[in-house]
Amino acid sequence: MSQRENWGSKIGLILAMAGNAVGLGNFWRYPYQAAKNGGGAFMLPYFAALLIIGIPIMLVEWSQGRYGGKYGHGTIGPMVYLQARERAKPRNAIIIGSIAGAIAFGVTILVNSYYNHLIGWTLGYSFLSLTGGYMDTAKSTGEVFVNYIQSPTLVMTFWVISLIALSFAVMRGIQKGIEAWAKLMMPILYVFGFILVIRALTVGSPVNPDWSPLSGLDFLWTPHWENLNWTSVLAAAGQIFFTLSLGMGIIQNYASYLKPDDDIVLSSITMISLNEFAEIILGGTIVIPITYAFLGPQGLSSGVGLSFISLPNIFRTMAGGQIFGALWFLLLFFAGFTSAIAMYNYLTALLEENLGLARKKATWVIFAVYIIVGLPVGLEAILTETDTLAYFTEVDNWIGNYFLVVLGLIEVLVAGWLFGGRFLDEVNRGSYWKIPTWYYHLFVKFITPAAILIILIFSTKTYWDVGYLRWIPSFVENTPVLVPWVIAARLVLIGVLTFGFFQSYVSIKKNYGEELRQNRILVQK
Amino acid sequence: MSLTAIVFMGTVWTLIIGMAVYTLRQVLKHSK
Repeated sequence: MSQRENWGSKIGLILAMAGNAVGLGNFWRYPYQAAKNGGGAFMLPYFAALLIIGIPIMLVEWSQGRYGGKYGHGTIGPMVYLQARERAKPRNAIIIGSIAGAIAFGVTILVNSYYNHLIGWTLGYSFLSLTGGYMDTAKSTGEVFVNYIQSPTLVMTFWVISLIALSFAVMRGIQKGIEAWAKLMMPILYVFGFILVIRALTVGSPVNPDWSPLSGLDFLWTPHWENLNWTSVLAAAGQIFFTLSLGMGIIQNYASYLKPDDDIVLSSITMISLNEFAEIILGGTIVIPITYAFLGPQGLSSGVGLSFISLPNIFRTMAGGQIFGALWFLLLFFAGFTSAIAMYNYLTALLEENLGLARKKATWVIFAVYIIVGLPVGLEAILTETDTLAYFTEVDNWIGNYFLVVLGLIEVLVAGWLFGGRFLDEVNRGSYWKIPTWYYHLFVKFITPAAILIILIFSTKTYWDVGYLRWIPSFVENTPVLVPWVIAARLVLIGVLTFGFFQSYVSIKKNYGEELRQNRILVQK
Repeated sequence: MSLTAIVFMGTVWTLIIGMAVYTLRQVLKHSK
């Protein structure tokens, strides 16, 4: 196997990992999730989920990635296999590894199928901000958004530009590509975030004396115990998976480029701190206070439209709105870009590893794949002339509620129960901070998997009750034109998972054929 | 802002900023 690249510097690694985690989830998803789930009522389960689920899985993913990288792997199937075979026999471990590999394959292909479009929208909206494209008050910002997603020229142009930029970043490799871009984009992202926080907190009360940025912060930070329910707990846990990029395989992929004795514990906690800084302090202090000041508490209920519909409406009336609008959408673009690179690199590594393709060639193959899987997302609104985005919603629902969570559960169960005590040795080797034995026994083995299992059961019940799991899910039952798009989404999900399973199975078998034949461990590093 | 909100937000912000600064300084220290 050819020599794998390593990260060039510790700070480059941290910024690339932070870029991996800090994404649209921090600035776009977090504010509307927090607002929708009762503000203060959301924050309590959010921090509980961060401690119980986020940190333990992050440690598991870093150590799984570094361990796999030692054997020359950058993808999940073989990584999970290597840990699972310690206590499950190789022939059982290959099944576990293939399931995990299938999910990571599905996530990295399908999340980017719509994520790349979201990045394209943010780039397009940066352009619209600078050129005053949504400043005309004769048209509502809702109409501007619908016109945007139904315009083939705008959607396709900014989507393809984003994809080409991503391809060039990935093509240059780890140090000259991913690390270099993260070193440039991440500091800019934080600077833009600071500027926007200051602007958000100084807008005053332009519409109603009772609506001020501080009232928005009050809404977010007053714990409303009475509003605490399962919906907010599930939303908070889901947000933790999204914001930390857990259960996707991309943390392991980046960690696979660590040297075998590089630090894991301090680096992963630093990355989580930077992510939470971006999410809670920047993400939470831009959108919610500014929306509250201009639109009041009702404005916060606009859900996914908060960033693309409500905020442009505010930028129209705000002094310097075009500049702040451009800063906001460029911030989203940088955040999304540095996360999409990670998914792109996962698939590039998969081709390098399994087909022996050179990085450049692998990058262009993945570019073509992303064009193909991204077309239904881009074409739906254009062809159906609706703004429901049923294909995108269906793919996102399954990935957010099941793929990430199930992969997280498999990873933590394998690390806690099959890799056994070696997990502690592995995670602590070379680390500046050490994980204590009690933490491994309490969290990795018991509390974290139990919490994920409970989340899976209750989210399934919730989705069953609201009709998402029906053949024709509730959100399209009154719009027959969208039904084929939902069915197509499900067929794509099944197809990609099946392909991913066999791909992972073949990959593991190719590398560990002899030990599978003898059903005992032969390759040990 | 209510006192509860100020205390809750203040505590969380202090923890996050403290952790971010402390961990980054540790990383830089070990990078030398």
